[in-house]
Amino acid sequence: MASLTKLSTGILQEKAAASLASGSYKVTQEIYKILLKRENKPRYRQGLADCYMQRARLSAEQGKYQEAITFWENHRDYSDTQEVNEHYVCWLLKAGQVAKLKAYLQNLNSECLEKDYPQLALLLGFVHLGGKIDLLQWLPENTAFTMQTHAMQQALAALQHNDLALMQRHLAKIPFRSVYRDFRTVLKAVSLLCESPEKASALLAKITPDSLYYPLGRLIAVLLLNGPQLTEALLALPQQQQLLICKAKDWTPQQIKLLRTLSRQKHLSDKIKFDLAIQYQTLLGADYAQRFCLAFLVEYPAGQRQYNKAFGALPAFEKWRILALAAEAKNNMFEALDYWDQGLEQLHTNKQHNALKIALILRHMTNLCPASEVIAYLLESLEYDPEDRGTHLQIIKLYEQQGEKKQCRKSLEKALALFPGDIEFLGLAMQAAIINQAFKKAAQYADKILRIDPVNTQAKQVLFNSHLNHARKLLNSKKFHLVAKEIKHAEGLNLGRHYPALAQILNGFFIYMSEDQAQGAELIEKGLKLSTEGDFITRFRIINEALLLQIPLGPLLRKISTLEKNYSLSNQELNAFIKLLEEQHKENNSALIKTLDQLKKEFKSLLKNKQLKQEQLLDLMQCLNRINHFELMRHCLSCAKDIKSSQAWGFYKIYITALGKPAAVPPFGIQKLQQLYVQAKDQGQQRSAVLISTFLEKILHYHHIKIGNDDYFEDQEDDFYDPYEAIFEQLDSRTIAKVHRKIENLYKSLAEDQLIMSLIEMLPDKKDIPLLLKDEDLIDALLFLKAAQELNLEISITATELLAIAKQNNETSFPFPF
Amino acid sequence: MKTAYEILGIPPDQEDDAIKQAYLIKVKQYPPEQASEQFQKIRSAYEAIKDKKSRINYELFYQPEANFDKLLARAFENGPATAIDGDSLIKLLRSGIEESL
Repeated sequence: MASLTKLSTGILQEKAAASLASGSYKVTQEIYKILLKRENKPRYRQGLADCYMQRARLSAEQGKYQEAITFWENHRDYSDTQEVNEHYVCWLLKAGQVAKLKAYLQNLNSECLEKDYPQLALLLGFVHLGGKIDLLQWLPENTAFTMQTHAMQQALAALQHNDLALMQRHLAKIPFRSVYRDFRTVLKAVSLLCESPEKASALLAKITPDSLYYPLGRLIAVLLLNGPQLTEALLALPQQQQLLICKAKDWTPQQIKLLRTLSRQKHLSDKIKFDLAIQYQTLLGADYAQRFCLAFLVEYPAGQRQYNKAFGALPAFEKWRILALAAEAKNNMFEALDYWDQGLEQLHTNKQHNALKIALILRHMTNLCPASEVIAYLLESLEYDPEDRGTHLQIIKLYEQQGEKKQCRKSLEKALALFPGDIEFLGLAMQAAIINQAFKKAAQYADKILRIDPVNTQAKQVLFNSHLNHARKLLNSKKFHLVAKEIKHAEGLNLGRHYPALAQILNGFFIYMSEDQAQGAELIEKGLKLSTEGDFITRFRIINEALLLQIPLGPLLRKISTLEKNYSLSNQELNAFIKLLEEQHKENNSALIKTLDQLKKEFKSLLKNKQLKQEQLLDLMQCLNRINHFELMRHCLSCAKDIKSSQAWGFYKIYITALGKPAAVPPFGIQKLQQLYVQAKDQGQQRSAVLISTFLEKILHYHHIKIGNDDYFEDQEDDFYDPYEAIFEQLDSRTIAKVHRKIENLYKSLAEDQLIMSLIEMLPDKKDIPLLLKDEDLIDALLFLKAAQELNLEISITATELLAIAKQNNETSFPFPF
Repeated sequence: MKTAYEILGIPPDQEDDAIKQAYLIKVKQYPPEQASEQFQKIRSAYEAIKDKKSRINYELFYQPEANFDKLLARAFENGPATAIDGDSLIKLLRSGIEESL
């Protein structure tokens, strides 16, 4: 300080400006005091006043209200402008300086407080309504502010007497822009709490966070909360406010006690949660508390004893069930399978009683196990619940998808024996018969279906085709006297759309072959007129029919004058044509390829003028692939140049070049297919991705590569060689899990030396003991075998064989050079 | 989370007829055209326990929830918001003033 007094006025002024800018208000204050002693300049006074103001603000921020008051009063002494400061009033209130507050308010000398000092009016009204200090006595009477304050007090009193109508009348006196507008909103919300909680909540949401009434609004809003939000909001409140809310909510002492207990916990450990659930089970609902504890045992197994004491001992199966469900919830499917398996072991102790449970669990396990094991689980489930229709259906469809025709047929026969009148099974049997070209059988199934469901369209279609096929057979064998009856039967099925035309056309062929060619051609033309399938498909049908009936095409086509030659092919007709090809292929139409060859020139030129979209290209290519027509496939691809950049196009280019043969795809083609697969997957082109991956799998299979090894082309060298893997990889994951559990038990029940001794006993020749002791892989393999044997699992491997592998492996491995 | 039995308002040892009866009563209370969400819950609950097989299935795969917050919420469930009296409001106001100042 002494050093400052020696400085010149100019330097002091510079220092004052610098220290003020750096926020060193105490230093600045001292500099201004020195400057004022030298010369009483207004700007020095104002500078000092500003310093005091800043220091008052800083003290208030630190909660030092008394100090803040003193600084502000100093500020007032030096400041030329005597502004009113609501902060000063606030600090006076905080510091309990009632005498100063009274003096300050009495000196305000304002007839219109609300207009002159709105912020102060807001604060005064807010404090006055709280009822701690009667501030109105120190303010001028009969002003707008005092009148509004009285109206608010009366509204509050009306609320206290539960007279909401009177409260509304008093609130109506409050002008829109009043300092009480937010409090009026609070009161309106309070009046709506029961009647319309949503409206009350919307009103409270209007109070902005900068309003003095915001904390009050937030407290009232807690009353409107429910569920976990209420608990969370309550726990965030101080105890006094918690108790007020509890009282307002009319809570029981037990509820309040629980809330207080929760408030006291800084962190809710698993133990505390478990204890509270048991302690407050009456309040929480005994069932709910028990369910919570049961589920929570997964995370807090230490609570088991407490659980047993509170709710009774947990059955062994229940423990595995809960563990399995918890593992499922965490997507740990293999873990879940393992737990279910252990649960099943418990249920197996009384198989008869638990049969349905076992079956249901086995079916549930199909959602968790690898796809290759689903059928095995389903079949096992039928051992416990043989008449489950859904399971039979699922098995049949899975066999169908996997192309296991024999198994599919067997399963279907089993299902039909159990459910002879089931339309779905009959329908599947009918479809299977068609695929197996057992058309007579298919017709029999269709007939059975129609007896149960006379309007079943699918069965009618099959029966219709069956009659027409039979009519063709009769025509080919010249048994003309029986043909008309078959066609009549087909017509009698009353199928809509193009079916009457098909019957009519065949009738024309019948007359053409048996009686009069001209009359027959006329009848065929009549049939053509009935057709709604479009010119190209109709031509396809006529040529196909002629080829099936071995009629020379040229003379026939010359006789049918109405057969259009310059036809078009709309998108709808192309889709219908693809469907027709699929159907005819399924029904093993013997003239299908020949018919296509007859029409391929026209079909190619029609496709040339079309702009094929990706989905259409895929439909067409898949259909042509099924009927093995690579020539048309190549042409289709050349017509779809607009989508040349698509993965589907890229795939088919490689596929057609290799004629669909995995062996014919060159290495760069495989790489390209892998790139296309990744791109299709990334771009969400599911259909293309499935097509490419299916073909890639076939290629990889051809090259004897394990399917699913995505990194095959990148890091083959990284593969770890396990000599025993080939032996045990045939076991399913369920068996492996069982064996691993058994191994764990062996480790628990036997000391290490005992375990090794038991493995030594498995060796046929004791000379091999040193080999066993130095080969960890052999120990693991023998341990696996021992566990499997103890579980009575059938594993077609012996200790001698394992030993032979170990010896061979030791011979081929390179010795260390030291 | 309520169980299917709780949604239908019946104890867990009921037979098919009683469950169906409870379902029909609930559907009358919450018809689909007026309370579609509630109706869906009721429908799903009924489907889950309508016959013996589905009840065994439900019991096997019903996973109790280990959600402590939800459990607590049950303890503080008090139905709709309660009316607040003037005295409590003044106390809350004072409490709010303390906080605002």
